[in-house]
Amino acid sequence: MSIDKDTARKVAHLARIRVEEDALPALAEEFNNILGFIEQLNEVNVDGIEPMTSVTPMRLKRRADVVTEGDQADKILKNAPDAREGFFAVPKVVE
Amino acid sequence: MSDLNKLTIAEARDALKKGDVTSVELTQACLTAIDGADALGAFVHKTPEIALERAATADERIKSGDAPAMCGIPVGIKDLFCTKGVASQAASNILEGFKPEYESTVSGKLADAGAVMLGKLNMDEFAMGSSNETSAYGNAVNPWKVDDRNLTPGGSSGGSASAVAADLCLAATGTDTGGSIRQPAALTGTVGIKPTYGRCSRWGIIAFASSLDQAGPMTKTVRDAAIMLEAMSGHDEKDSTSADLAVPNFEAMLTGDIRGKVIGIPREYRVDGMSDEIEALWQTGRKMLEAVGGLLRRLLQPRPPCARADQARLRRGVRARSGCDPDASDPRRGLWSWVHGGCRPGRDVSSGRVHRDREPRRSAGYLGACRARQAGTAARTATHRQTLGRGRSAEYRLCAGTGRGFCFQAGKMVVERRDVSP
Repeated sequence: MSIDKDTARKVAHLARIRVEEDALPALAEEFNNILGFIEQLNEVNVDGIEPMTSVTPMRLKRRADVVTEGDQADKILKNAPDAREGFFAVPKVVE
Repeated sequence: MSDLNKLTIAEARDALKKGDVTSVELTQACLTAIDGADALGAFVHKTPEIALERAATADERIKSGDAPAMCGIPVGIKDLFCTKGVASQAASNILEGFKPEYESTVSGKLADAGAVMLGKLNMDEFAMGSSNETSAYGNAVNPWKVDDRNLTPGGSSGGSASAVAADLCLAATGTDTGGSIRQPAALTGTVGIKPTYGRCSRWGIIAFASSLDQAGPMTKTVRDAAIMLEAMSGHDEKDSTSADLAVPNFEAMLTGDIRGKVIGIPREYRVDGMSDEIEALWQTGRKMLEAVGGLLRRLLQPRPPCARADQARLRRGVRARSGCDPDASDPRRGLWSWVHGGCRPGRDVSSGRVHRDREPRRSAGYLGACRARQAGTAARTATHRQTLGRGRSAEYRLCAGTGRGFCFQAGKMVVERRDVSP
């Protein structure tokens, strides 16, 4: 499989990233490089090899489903560019 | 005592304990050095008030006899760590003005141990880079030089490496996803460790690739790395992937005795086009290991290009997923630059960089045959000019052909030191 200029344009559009027309061939090439890496990995014979996800012999920790730290609205909003009445304020996105 | 900023952690700890020096004096020496080294671009947010306040507290603690090893030690913190009330912007304009209301677990542990934060250190933007040239603060510069050119300290923990190498601080924190501690440590002749995943909490560290990121120490000596790593390590409820294992006394393990240990030398680590300089360092490293009784064994590593591909794919994939950006439409900021920043490691890979395997296999023991490998960290020298795309270029040099950090420091090249006075 290979990514052409049109596919690169489409991917950029779907990701809502503006890519100038003359930058598309380079972008397509970079996508193809990534696919090339995946091809290389597909060539590896992994028959009989046990998957390894971690070297640390532990299960993911769980905790009780309770509120541990609350009542911090002021702190949470401290870095917001715009906050009103205890909420983040953002530009209107839906008419 | 003169040149207090040039002390190692171990030396400073002992001098503090004996009362030969105070943390305030140590801190002052570092602050003076920092102010004289703006040309390095290492410290990007200076916090002298916080530093002197913590130093005074540390001195009281030392006097009262309640002092852990890191108490009173002046350190730099990579800008990727959230530090309460102090700018933490991952070297990006996207986070300009962000002052966290909380402290990362690792920087908090260091503070609790009495370490003195001198300020925040330069890095590649969001840790995506290997030369500290993608930073919103500008480049960090390697204090080592071979001529009048500015050389890269590596990246992404470039500011940390530069600061430690230039004696602006006794040690610094770094983070490593795919080499961001190890490579800058190698390029500046300092010591850096990427701990096994889970050893240090990731909480409060701005994420790059959550399943690969680890914080680690960047220091002047192996002993210092052991001391500092112990203070940084430990289970944290706030990071469910942090390992719930006891933290050993790493320093006590530094016996220097590796007799009988089997050390694997992957044949594939010698890459095509490697310069004689690197080859000589590599051989020196082998001889040093043999001289102290290490049993060297050649390893044939299956398909290293695939391991490189694996790393590149993983990093890009995770990076792409973490790319949420309020200003993606601006090609100078945001996702566009992330995408392109993200492609550079891929280029490094195809140009034959010594490959860095994933950490888990390393610590689990390669193919069950050995517990340590000799691994060069970078295969470039000052004479290699690498074009990084987008018309930029960087000079890479190798001043430490590192062996396994726990055992020894190998092959530091003798080069002129850059004058960091103003």
